Amino acid sequence: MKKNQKIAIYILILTAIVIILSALEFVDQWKSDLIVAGSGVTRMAKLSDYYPELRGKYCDTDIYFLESNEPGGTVFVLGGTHPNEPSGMLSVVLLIENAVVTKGRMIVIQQANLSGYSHNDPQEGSPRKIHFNTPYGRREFRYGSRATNPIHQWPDPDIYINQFGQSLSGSETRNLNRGYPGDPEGNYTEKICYGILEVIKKEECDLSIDLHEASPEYPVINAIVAHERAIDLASIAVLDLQMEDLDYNLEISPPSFRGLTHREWGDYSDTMAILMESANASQGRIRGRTDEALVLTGKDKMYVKAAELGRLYVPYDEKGHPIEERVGRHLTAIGVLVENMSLLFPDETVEYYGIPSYQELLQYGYGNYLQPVK
Amino acid sequence: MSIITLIYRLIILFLTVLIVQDMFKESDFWNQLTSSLVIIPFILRLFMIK
Repeated sequence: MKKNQKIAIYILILTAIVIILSALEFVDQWKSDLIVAGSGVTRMAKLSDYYPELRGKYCDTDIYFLESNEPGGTVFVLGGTHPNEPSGMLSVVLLIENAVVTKGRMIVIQQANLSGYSHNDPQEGSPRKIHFNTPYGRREFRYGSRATNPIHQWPDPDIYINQFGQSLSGSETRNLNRGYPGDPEGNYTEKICYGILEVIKKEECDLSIDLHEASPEYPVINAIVAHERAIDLASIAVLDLQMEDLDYNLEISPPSFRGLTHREWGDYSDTMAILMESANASQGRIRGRTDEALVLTGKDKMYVKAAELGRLYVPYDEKGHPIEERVGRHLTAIGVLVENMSLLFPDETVEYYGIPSYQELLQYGYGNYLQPVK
Repeated sequence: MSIITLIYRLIILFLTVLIVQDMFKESDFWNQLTSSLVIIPFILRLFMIK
């Protein structure tokens, strides 16, 4: 054997080691997050129970039902549409692990685009996981990518033409919040959309809330975006939230901006559709060092500088926007929306307890409200 | 698995075999090393890991 052939074998052995090590890390991202069903969870289902074609596929996410014995309304809360916007998923986790519904019922999904959680964006410097110290030990959750994993949906077209004939960039074909109302004959992401809308329709959800985060330089931030049938409810809620020193921008869902939850859920079902945004520096374009600390604290000197220059749509200082603040805003807003829905539509009353307040989250931390893993 | 994904993976397999063959013909160490770097994402995608 020639010398160069021996070297080729040695290099291939080294390459195989690198491939195995990196593959182990990527495969680790496929493992499910541990979610503890609290005492308020009465039953669970799968997305495929509403759209059987998803059965056996990675995207077949869990659905949790928190039901009471008292008749009332149905509230649907969706987290994890975009897995790089963690406050939505973490808010729903607290509902699953702590909320007890005493009137009506809640239906929640913590990881809407489960495929998006099976990978992240290494070239964005994204962390793979985020961790919380709890009274019972350490808990971790995946920090995923904004879009469906390409190993589940490939290839991206150059231009994504959505179901309404609108042209979007090719990668938006894997964006769950562009594919509604979904299409049973469509691509992987559109099928997930279809399944989620089937949940809303079959369960006759009165109010449906989609939880998001936005980068601080994005205009729609700390906002409630409401479908026109939900605008009265959202208006009252924004006033109530201001009374609690939580400022929210109220946006009406643009009728021509198709494919999004706040538009299509409202147009294709009887639900009142609402989307909410909190401030997340780790997905912004002018952030500095990107790591788990940025995701959890929101502290970033580049954003502090940008705020000083008046370039942001949210206040930003050295305190950042910690995950407790972002989750607290979502949970408080959900509570206020549900409370006002009960006032506006008494037959659709939903009542629940067990969720920490905004101040409690800030004081004691997110991990303090996670349940022990059995 | 869709037909287009199958074709895609066959193309990756074909290119990977060509690159490995080339590594054994190549006499320059740095070119061999460069080839190995190309193989890494190919193999990960061939097995649909990343």
